Amino acid sequence: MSPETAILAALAIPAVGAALIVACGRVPNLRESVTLATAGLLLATVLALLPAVLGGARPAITLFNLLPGIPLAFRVEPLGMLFALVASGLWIVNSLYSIGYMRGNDEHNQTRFYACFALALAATMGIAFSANLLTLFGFYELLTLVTYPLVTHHGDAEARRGGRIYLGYLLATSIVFLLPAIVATWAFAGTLEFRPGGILGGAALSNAALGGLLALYMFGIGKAALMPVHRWLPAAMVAPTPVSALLHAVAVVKAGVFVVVKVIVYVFGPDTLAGVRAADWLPTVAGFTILAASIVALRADNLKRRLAYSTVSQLAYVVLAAALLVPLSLVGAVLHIATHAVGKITLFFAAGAIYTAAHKTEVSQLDGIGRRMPWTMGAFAIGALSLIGIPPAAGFFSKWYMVQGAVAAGHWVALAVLSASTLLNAAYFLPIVYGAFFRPERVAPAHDHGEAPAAAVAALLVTAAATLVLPFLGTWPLALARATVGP
Amino acid sequence: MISAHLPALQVVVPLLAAPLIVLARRGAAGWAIATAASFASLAIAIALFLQVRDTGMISYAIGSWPPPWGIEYRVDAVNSFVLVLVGALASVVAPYAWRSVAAEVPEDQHYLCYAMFCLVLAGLLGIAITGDAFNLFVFLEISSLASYVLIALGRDRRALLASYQYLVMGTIGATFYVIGVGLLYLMTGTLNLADLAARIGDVQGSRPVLAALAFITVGVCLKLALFPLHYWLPNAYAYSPSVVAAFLAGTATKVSIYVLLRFYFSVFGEAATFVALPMREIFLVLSLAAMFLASLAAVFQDNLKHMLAYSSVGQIGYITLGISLDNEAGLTGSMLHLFNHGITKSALFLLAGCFVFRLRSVQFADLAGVGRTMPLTTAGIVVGGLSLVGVPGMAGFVTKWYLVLGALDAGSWVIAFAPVVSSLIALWYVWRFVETAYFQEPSAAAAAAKEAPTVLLGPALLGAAACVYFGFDTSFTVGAASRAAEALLAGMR
Amino acid sequence: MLILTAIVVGIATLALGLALVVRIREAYGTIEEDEILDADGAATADRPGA
Repeated sequence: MSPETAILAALAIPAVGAALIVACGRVPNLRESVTLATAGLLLATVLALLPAVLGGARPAITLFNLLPGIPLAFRVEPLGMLFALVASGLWIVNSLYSIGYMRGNDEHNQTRFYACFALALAATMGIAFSANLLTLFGFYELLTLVTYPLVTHHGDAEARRGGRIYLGYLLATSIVFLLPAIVATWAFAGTLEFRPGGILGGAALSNAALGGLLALYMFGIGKAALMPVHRWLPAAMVAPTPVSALLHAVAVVKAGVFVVVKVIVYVFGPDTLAGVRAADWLPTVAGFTILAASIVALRADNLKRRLAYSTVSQLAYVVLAAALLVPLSLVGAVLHIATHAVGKITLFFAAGAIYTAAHKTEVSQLDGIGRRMPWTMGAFAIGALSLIGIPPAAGFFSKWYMVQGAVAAGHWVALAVLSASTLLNAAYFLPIVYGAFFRPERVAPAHDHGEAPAAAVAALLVTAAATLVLPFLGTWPLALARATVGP
Repeated sequence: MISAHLPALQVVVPLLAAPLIVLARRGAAGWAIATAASFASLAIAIALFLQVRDTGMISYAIGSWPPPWGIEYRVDAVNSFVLVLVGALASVVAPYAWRSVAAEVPEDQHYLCYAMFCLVLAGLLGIAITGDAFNLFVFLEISSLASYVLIALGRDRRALLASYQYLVMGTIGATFYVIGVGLLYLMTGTLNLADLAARIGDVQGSRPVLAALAFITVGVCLKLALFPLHYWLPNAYAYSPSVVAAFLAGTATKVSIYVLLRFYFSVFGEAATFVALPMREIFLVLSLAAMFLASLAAVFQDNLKHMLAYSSVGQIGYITLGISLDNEAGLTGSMLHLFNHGITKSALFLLAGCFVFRLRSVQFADLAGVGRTMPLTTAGIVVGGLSLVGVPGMAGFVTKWYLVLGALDAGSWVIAFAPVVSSLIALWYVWRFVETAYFQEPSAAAAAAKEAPTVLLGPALLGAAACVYFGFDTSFTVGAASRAAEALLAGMR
Repeated sequence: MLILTAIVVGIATLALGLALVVRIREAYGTIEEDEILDADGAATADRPGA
C-alpha cells in the first residue's frame, strides 16, 4: 500500500468500522470481533507508514479545497507519526479491556459505545495527520462531538451534568479562542500549513501580538487542560472507565498536547518564539498547573478524580517542556506524549478493574486489595513508577530529557517545578501501592471478589509491560521525537 | 429564443401559476402547479446565475421599453445568487408541502395556500430581479400580502393575531420605503435603480437624499427583522403552518437584506451611506444586540418553533454585522450567511414540521425523549443546530470564518470575538434541544410517535444534508458570495 | 400611474387587514388587544401550540 493510500486508509478504516459495528449491533460477539479487527487493521496501516517516516519521507495527500487557498490536506511528519502510533496501538488494548469491563458491569448501549469509539479514533487519525490548521480544527471539533455520547454514556442526571461541563469547556475554548487564533494566523501569515520553522516568522508581528496569539492558542486548545480551562477533565470522569482510559491516554488529551507542540514547533517555530518576552507567561502557567493539579490530586479520595488531576498535571509537563523551546526539552515533550499514555492507561485500567471486581472507587477503600488483586495492583504500581519517573519505567526517560532541557535553557524555576512535582507524584501514588499490599483490609468484603474479568486483566498486563519495555522497544519513539526537533 | 426572456419568465411563471391554481380550485392540482412553478423558477434562476457568471450583468427591458422610462430587470452577481436561493428553497419546500399542508390547513383552503405560495415566490423573485425602485415596492407588497394570508392559515388562532401584527408592521415598513423612494424621485426624477445611482451624485448629501436613505433603511429593516424592529417575526414563524415558516424563514428576510445592500452600495454608494451617516456604528450596535439578545431569548423559549424564530433574529444580526464591517471579507460573510442561514433555517423548520405532523406539537414538554422514536428527524435537527453554532464541516462555519476575517481586516479584535462568543449562546439553545430529545424520558406524545413519512423527511433531510455539503464544498457559495461582495463594493451596476 | 398602483396596493392591504380583524373577532369574541392577550395567556396553559 502506498503511503498516500495508507493515510486515507487510516481515516477510512475506523469510520467504516463504526458503520459495521452498528450493523452488527445485535450480535455482541460479532460486534466485538469487528472492533478488534478494525483496531488491528488500523495499527497495521499506521505501522506501514513508520519506515518511510523514519527514513525521512513525509507522505502527503491533498484533497479538495475547504476554503479558497486552504485544502483538506494530510501530511505525515514524525510528531504525527508518534501520536498516530500511540493512539492506534492503545486502541486495540483498550478495546480488549472494554470487552471485559462493559460485560463485567453489564452496561447498556454497548453498540453506541463501540461505534463512537471507532469514530473517535478516526477523528484522532485525522488530527495526527493534518497538514494544515483548518483540517486539524475540523477533526479536533469532530473529536469533541463524537466523544460526547461516550462521556454521557450512562444517561443519568450526573452524566448529563458532566457532559455539559465537558462540551461547554471544550467547545467554548475552541470556538472563542482557537478559531479566532486560526483566522488571525491566516490573516497574518497567508497560509495555514504546518512547516518546520513555523509560518509566522515572516509576518513581522510585534512581541505583544505574538504573545497574544500564543495565549489564544494555548487557552483555545482546551484538550490540553491548561488551567483554568481544565475542568472538563475531572468532569468527564462520569464516563465508564474505558472511556476515561481513552480520554486520558489515547485520544482527547494527547490530541490536546499534540496540537500544542505542533503549534509551537510548526506554526510559530521555536526560533520565532525564543526571545519573545510576551511569551514568558507560558512556562509559568504550565508550571502553576503542574503544581496546583498535583495538590488537588493529593487531596482527592476518589481514585478516578486523583488520576484525572494527575493527568492535568502531566499534560502541563508537555506544555512546559515545549514552552522552554530548546531541542532537548522538545524531545522530552514529544516522548512524554508516548510514555504518559502507556503509564496512565495502565492506571485507569487498574481503577476500572478495581471497580468491576470490588465495586470500590475511593482510595481510602483500597487497603489490602493488593492481596486479592495482585496482577491489577502490580500493574498499578508499574504505572505509578512511570508517572513518578523512576527507571526503568518509560516515564523516567521523557522526564530526563525535560530536566536536561530545563538545564540547557537555564530555566531554574522549571527545574524546581519538575523536581517538586516528582515528589508530589510520589506522595499521591506510593501510599496507594503501599496500602494495597502492606496494610490489612479495613472491611472484609462479603465474598472474595478476586481479579477483574480476564480480558481486562490481560489488557492491564499488556500496557504495564509496555510501560517497562517501551524505551527499549526499538528506538522509534526517540527517533521520532528527535526528528520532530531536528531538520 | 426563450433564454433571452429568462429574466421576465423568472417572475411571470410563478405569477401566472397563482391564478391557474385558483381556477383549478382543487388542492391536488394546486400542489402540482405550485411544485412545477417552483422547479421552473429554480431552473431559470440557475440558468441566469450561470449566464451572469460567464458573461456578466444582464439587462432586460420589460415590454421592450428602454430604461429608464420602462421597467428594467437587471441580473448581476449579487441578485443571481439570491434568485438561486429562493428558487432552491421553493423547490425543496413544495414537494414537502403536499402532506404538511394536508395536515395543518383545512382542506377547502388548500388551493388558496398554494396560490398564495406562488404569489410569495413571484414577489420575492421580482424584488430580487427588478431594476426599478417602484416595481420593487409592488413586488414587495405582493409578496407581503400573500405572506400575511399564508401565516393566517395556521391552525392556532394566535396565527391570526400574528398575521395582523405582521401586516401592520410590514405595511409601515413598505410605506417608509415608498416615502424614501418618493424623496429620491423628487430629487433625481427617475425610479430606475441604475439611473438613480448615476444621478444621485449631483444631489449627494442634500437633506432629502439623506432623509430618503433613513426612510428606506427603517422600512427595509422592519422587513428584515433587524433588532429592535423584529417584533413581528417570532409569532409569525411560530404560529404559521410549518411549510410557510420553512419557506419564509429562508427567503423573506434574506431578500429584504438584498434590498438593503442594493440601495446602500449600488444606489447611494458606499461613501454616502457609511460616511455621511453613522451607518457602520448603528448597524454594529444593532447587530451585536441582535446576536446576543435575540439568541439569549431563544434559550428561554418553551417551544421549538419560537426558539428557531428568535434564533433567526440573532442570525440576521450576523449578516448585518458583516454589512457594518464594510469590507470584502465582511460582505462575503454577509452574502454567505444569506445563503447558509437560508438553507439551515429552512431545513430546521421543515424538520419541526415533521414533529408537528406526528406529535401535533413542538412544545419542549412534548418533545421530551423524541430522539428514541423519531431518530432521523431529531438527528436532522442536531445537524442543523450544529450549522447554526458554526461547527467546522457545516455551512455556518464558513460564514463565521469570513466574519472573523472581516473584523480582523477592519482592525477590530473586539468585533472579531462577537460572532464566536454569540455562537456559544446558539450552542446553549441547541443543546437544550439535544438534552430534551435524548436524555429525558419520552413524553406521552413522543412515545406514541413513529418516524415522519418519507415525503416529509426526504426534503427536510435533504436540507440538513445541504448544510453539511456546503460546509465542505464551498466553491459555489464562497465563489458566488465573494463575486457578489466585489460587485457591491465596486458600486457600479 | 404610479400613484394608482400605490392606491390599489393600499386598498388591498386595508381589505386584508379588515378581513383579519373579522376572523380575529370570530376566534376570540373581541377585538380588544388586552382581552385577546389575556385569553391567549390562559389558553397556553392547556393547549399545545402549533
